[in-house]
Amino acid sequence: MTPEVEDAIASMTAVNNEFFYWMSIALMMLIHAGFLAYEIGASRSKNVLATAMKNLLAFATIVASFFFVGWFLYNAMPGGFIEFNDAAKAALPWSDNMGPNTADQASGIFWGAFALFAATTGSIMSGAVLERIRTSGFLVLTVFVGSVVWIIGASWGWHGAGWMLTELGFHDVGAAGCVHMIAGFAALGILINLGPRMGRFLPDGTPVTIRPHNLPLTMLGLFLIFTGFFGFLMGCVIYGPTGYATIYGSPTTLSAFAFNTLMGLAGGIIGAYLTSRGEPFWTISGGLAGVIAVAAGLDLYHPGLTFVIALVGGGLIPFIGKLLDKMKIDDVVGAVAVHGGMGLYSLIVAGIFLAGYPNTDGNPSISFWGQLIGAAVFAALGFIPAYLLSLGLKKAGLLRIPPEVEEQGLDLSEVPATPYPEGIPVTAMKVNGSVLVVTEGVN
Amino acid sequence: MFSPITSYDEPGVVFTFGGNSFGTWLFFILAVVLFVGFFVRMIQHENHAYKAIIEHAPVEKGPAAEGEPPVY
Repeated sequence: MTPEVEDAIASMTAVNNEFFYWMSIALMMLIHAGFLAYEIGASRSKNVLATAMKNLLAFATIVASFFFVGWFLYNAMPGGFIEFNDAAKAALPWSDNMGPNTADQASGIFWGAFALFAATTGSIMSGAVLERIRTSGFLVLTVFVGSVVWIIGASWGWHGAGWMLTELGFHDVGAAGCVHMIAGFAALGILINLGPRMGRFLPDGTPVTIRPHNLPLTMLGLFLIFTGFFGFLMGCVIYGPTGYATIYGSPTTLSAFAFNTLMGLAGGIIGAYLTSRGEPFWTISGGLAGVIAVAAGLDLYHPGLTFVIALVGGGLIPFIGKLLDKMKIDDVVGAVAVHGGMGLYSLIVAGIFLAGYPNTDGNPSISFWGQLIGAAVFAALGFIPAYLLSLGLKKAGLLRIPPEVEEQGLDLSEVPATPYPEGIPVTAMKVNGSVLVVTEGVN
Repeated sequence: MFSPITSYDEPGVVFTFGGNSFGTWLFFILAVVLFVGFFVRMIQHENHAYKAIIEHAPVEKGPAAEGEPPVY
């Protein structure tokens, strides 16, 4: 092969690599479009625009803070604590690699993909805390989870040199642990301090359903999230001149991901339909639960096994939701059940079915105990820091909006605009000859 | 004026000021300060808005726009 041909192949490889992750980033943006639609629909009409603003600002603040500190932490902490190795120095915001550099076709595009992972992680808890959290308090928490906490978890357990891989043989190719589980457990820690929405529970603890103002929009939002997940999972593989590899360096294919992502979606939706008796919110959340349930082993499961794991996972989420209700925890969108519960389930199930699979570079094989210890680490990393920071915000009066504002809605106070100035169409139904107009009641 | 290069002959850093330079440091610090300032300003806005709604005062001065909810 002549040097000219070799140069041309090297150039094309670099261009292909950049374009691959560029597409991953673009598709992941759909996750945020989905979160926006999903949460707007899940809100009551008095909080619609405040919810949208919260999502927009979460995206903006996480991306900026991930540039300031997040990418450095990922590269500096695979050994457990901060080390100023070459990769870490290159990830400092003032280094040669953290800006336009014609000799570096990797740093920016990988930083971008990870920034979108970070924004996804930070936005997961956004729906759980709807309608009563202070936007500023939420943004402090989401920046903390999105640009600090999860990326430390990723450095430990979702990195080719992370200590959880080198010491435990940990396996989680689709980021069920570092993204979903950490976000879900962080949401739980925050919800305990935040408390439920007014009227969500009767004095005797009986839960009261506060209906979403636009469930069809919520369902559309979740379908956008499904679509965006193909970009998310695309970003979970390393694309190089010799083909695809997992983040742990073992060879894989996008075909493997296609089999199991789609079968996971299908199983999760069917499972949640069965156990929720066709309740639309849980049924469509089941699709997300199904993908997360199989995310840890997307590269290795047989699609039949994937379907069963996802169906059981999707079937579990309504029960996790009911358990939270019993504990008087008001998780508006089921984030703790879907992300926290299914992230944990995904890691444990991978330990059962993938135990004994080898890793590369002399790292230990996958084991049940390795997965279990990894899950415990992520649970603690998700829950404890977010619980403590939200407790601090609560003490400072920065966590929850005043009851008067909660009653009248954030759109009337905090947002200088109104979402539906001409009102929302309601269905008129005939009851015994007279017309009954059904409107949303506010408890 | 802020270019770190004089030609594109050698591949390398092309961003303004160049890596590890005073200009890069200055704007990094300014970006972080503005980021923190955004939070401070937002908390001030929230406190003002919440106070106004609790005191039954208009949040925004001036006439209401068509279709806006009436001043509480």
